[in-house]
Formats: sequence, C-alpha cells, structure tokens
Amino acid sequence: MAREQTVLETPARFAAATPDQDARSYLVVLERGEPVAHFPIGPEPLTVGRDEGRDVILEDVQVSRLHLKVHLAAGHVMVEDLGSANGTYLDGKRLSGPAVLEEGQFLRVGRHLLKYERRSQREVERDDDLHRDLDKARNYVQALLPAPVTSGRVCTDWVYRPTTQLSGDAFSYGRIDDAHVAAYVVDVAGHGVGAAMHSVSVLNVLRQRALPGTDFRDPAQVLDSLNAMFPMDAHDGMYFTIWYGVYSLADRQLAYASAGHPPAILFAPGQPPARLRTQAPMIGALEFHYATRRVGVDPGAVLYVFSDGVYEITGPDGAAGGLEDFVALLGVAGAGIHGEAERVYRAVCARAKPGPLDDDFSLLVVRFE
Amino acid sequence: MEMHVKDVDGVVQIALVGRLDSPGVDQVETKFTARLVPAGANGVVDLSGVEFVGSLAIRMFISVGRALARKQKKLVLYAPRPLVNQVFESVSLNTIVPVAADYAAALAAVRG
Repeated sequence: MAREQTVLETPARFAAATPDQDARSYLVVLERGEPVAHFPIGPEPLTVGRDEGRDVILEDVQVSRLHLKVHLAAGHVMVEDLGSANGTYLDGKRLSGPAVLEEGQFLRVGRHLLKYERRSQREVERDDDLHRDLDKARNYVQALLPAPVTSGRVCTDWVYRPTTQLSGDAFSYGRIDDAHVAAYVVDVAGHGVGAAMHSVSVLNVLRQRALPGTDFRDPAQVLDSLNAMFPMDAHDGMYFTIWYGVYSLADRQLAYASAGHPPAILFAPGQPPARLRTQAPMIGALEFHYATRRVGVDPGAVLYVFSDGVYEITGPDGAAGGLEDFVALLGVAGAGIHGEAERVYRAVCARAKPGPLDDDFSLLVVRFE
Repeated sequence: MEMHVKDVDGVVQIALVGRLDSPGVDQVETKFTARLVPAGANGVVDLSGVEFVGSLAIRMFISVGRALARKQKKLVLYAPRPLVNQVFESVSLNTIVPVAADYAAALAAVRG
C-alpha cells in the first residue's frame, strides 16, 4: 500500500541547500590572495596563457603563450600543462601529465596563482560587481597619469604596476611655466582603496597647483604646504612620502626635496650615479620645514624617480633586495629612453621570487636632452 | 608574526618577531596598540627579530608613538637589523619615534 508522507522543510535547510545546488566550478585568478576574476569551468577546455586568444590571459613573461588547460571530465576537474616553458605547479609540485584538480587547490603559473573553487552564481556575480567597480577606480587613477613624453628637451618614460587593483603610488610631471618642468612621485602608506583615494587627492592638488601661496618652482615650499594640508590625524592616520623635483630649462639646474622617500638616482654621462634626497620625515607625521637642494644636470643625463616597492623585493632564496641592488640595474645607453622603465621592471621581476612583487612598482625615468 | 610582551617596572617591553609587512601588521597592530595606548604606558620594542618593515609598520609605530606622546609617555624602538634600520633612516623615523641601538639605550631614552 502506498504511504503518504508530508515533509516539512525549514528555512534553515533551504538556506543551506541553495548555494550547493547552484554551485559551479570556477578557476579563480588571485592577486595578493584576493580573487580578481572567476572563469567557469565546463566540458570545453578553459585555456590559460599569455596570448590574446586564451580564455584566461595572464600578462606575465614567465607564462607561455598557451600554458595549460582546465576542463570537466567525468565529474572531475582536470588540469594539464600544455608544454609550457616554466611549468605548472599544483600545490607546489610540477605537473608532468593530466591531473585531477580538487576544490581549494592552487595552481602556480609563472608569477600568478590560480585556485579551483566551487561558488554559487550569486556569489560570483557579487564579487564581479565589486571588481568592476574597483576596475573603474583603477582606470580613473591610471587616467591621471601623464603620457610619456617622447620628444623635446625633457623626455619621460614610466612603469606603474600596483600589486592590488588600487595602489597608494602616484606620479606626474609637466611644465610649471615656460622655463620650469616639475616631476614627482608620491607613495601613500598601504594599498587598496583608502591609500588610492589619498594618493589621488594629493595628485590632484599637485596637478591643479591647489596649494595656496605656494611657489611650485620651490620644492621645499611645496612639501611644507602639503605637510600642512595633509596631517595624519585629519586623514585616518595616513601619511605619504614624496620626491619632488623642478628642472630649470634656462640654467640646467634641478631643484629637489624629498619627504621620507627613497633618493632619486641621477646618471650623468661618464659619472657615477648621484643619489638625490633630502633627509626629512614623511608628509603628515609632524610639523617640519623641508629644505631644497640643487644639482647641475648635464646634457644626456637620466633621472630615475621611484617608490620603495621597486627595490623592496624578496629573491627566490628569500633574501631581501635593497636599494643598491636596484641602482645596479639602472643606467641607460644610447639616445632614447623609450622602454627603459619596462626594461628595469623586467630586470627587477627576474631577480624576485615567483609571483607578484611584494609592493607597488612605480618608476619614472626622465632624460634631459 | 609573533609578539611577546612583559611588564618590567612600569615599562612595557614588546618583542616583535617576523616580517612586519601588511599581513604581519594586520596580525599584531590591534594587540600592539591595545597593550600600550589605553594604559598610557612607556614602551620599548625589541626589533632584533624583525626581518622587514613596510610602510604600514611605520604607520603603526608613528600612530602609537604619537598617541603615547599625547599622554606624556614614550615609545622607543631598539636593535633594528641593518635593512630595517635603512628603512627607518630613509623615512627619518627617528625624528618622530626614537630608535635606540640596544635595550639599555632604549630604557635610558624612555626614562630620560
């Protein structure tokens, strides 16, 4: 005899069941341990590589054009290295053939870390919305950075590589008047949204020259005014370091001042590199009067201005890099500087342990013709 | 990141061990601040076990140092490794938070 049965489902049980029923498999790209993109894994191979045509494109010289593939087969997620030059590492072990990828496992591909996760569509959509917003914020920050100058008496080149989507680094350069060009790099302590908002505030103040009563040709005045405008206590405990220089076209003098910032490095033809900095605390930490120094600039000299992230790296053996290691990579030959910043960035990456660099990488290169 | 604390004659002695990068600071900042600031205690911090300091660590030291200064108390760091000391010098930290060579000098600075 058939027996009728009434089953009462509690809301709690529904709540627990819903995410699992909806869950799908995703390959997640991580940056500093945070997910930045989700790619659904299905029966069709999901390809990972450096080339434009891949499903997951990783801009990384250690990643092959076609590096690996992931797909669903017989209820399992399978991963296979496709003959990449530098290999694919599953939880630290190099793959030698197709392997089953278990939920929560990590793949190391060049400098990138990928993770296999099962998530509900809603969770992924929420993450994607957040990252779209962060992308917009990043695009805004990058739109504030000036285009490289490829001709004229002062030429520039730069690299800007935040470790997270948003960085506390910012820089700019441009004419103050017919006879003076300013260049500066700012580094707000920390990463992420808060640091980026603060660096954008500082950058906009400098770009708009919105420091009342300040002669922007005098670096010390600029730093004094910034110090008065951005005290830590009024800005959620945030401080920033800065290197600010002004080049006089008429007498070929570079005036500069720095606040808690690494020295800029000036390479004059036939001379050892000069370290340009003034010993002074970061902006916002205490009342202080900054000082300006000046140095003559020979034709053909090249100036490197950067944040500390360019040299505070960890090597493959765990050893920490320092400023002197970085300075040894500098010095440009030939007439142009186009591509010089990228060359230095790649040289630093080659010395660092695999994976993203530890800190934001901002490097500005200026050549005086 | 490890943090060891003891109280000796009214001076809070803190030893930090590990990397004071962003994750390291996340691990200790609340404890570090809570141990020193609410009590308004003089503090000396042994950095001989710290391999690296990032900008957030410097921010932590400055914030606590300034909070203590408002209570007429001092925070003194001591025994930084050469690479860590280079970072302190590059940001002129000594103008805000004293950095001593060793424990005896730190105690003298905090009581001076």
